[in-house]
Amino acid sequence: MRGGGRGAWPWVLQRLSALALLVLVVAHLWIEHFMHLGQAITYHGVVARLMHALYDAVDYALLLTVVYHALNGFRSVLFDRIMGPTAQRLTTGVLWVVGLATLVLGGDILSAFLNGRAWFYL
Amino acid sequence: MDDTVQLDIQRFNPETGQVPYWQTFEVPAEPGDPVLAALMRVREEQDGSLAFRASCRSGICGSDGMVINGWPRLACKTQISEVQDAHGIIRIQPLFNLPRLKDLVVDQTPFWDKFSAVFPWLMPAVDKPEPEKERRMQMEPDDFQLLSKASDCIFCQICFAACPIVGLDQEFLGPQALIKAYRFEADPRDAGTPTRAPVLDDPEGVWRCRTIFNCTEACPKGIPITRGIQVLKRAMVQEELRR
Repeated sequence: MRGGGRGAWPWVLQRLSALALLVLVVAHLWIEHFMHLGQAITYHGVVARLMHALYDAVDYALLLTVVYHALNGFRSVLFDRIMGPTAQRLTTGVLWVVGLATLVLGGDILSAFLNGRAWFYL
Repeated sequence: MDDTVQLDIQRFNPETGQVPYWQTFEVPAEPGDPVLAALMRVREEQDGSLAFRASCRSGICGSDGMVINGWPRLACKTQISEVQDAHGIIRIQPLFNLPRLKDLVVDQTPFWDKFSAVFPWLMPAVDKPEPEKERRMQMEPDDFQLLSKASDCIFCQICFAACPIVGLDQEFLGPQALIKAYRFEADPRDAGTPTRAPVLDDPEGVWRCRTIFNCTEACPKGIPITRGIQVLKRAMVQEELRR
């Protein structure tokens, strides 16, 4: 045994993020596909939607939740194979870097429309 | 006239140093006979050196767990007709996830080590005064049902052999130790959570369980093991919040 107290939070957050995903994915699909049903998808239409704060909030929340949920789940799968504590710490570190990079990139793309300019100009 | 059954048994003798090998036996058997009866016939009539554990022959002692046609089962609770393949053959191996000693006999040490690691006994609160009158515990019927089922464990090690995570990770406590921990954690008389939590709330404790449900499916006593482990997970989250 390797001492207590590691595992409860990833487990709880995986379930909470799954519930959040259920709401956010439905909201996202609704906004994207059903609110302007029948209209042609144009660049201007997409820009107009992405300038809407509420729609953007859903997309930011979806980005954060989906990245956490996916990488936390992937970490669980990897940990079934990677047993050593050092290798596990390294794996967690790499996944944090991948997650943060994805968030920055996704946030940057969304922010370009909301603010009129990208945060980072990546 | 009796039908016959073909048993393909994985043999292993540590004294010869030979790798495990398959040996075929044919014995007469009635369709309703348990696999254990056929094994006993082999040992009594054909090869007295065949090693396997068995005792009560009634699904109570939990001694004769073995892998029958790729799935861990109690040989005394498995009828020949249930497991015979189209050619009338039954393949028998020792339990998975435990080192083999001889033929179908495994070394149970890892299993018992994990069982004893979870403090599998009732730990009453020492500071609570004994009730003057009758001691009466109250539980919701569903909770009592699950606790009662968890108490039915016969230590047959079938859940331990059926769990693929135990096969991957020898450090994992495994389903039997966890359902036993649940049995005491769910008991209203028990106050042992702070003692057990460091073992249960551990990457190799409840959190390694991936809810594959093999343990629940394989358990010959029908214990909903996975459900008990999930309840333990929730209890460990509450324990974490209390800290």
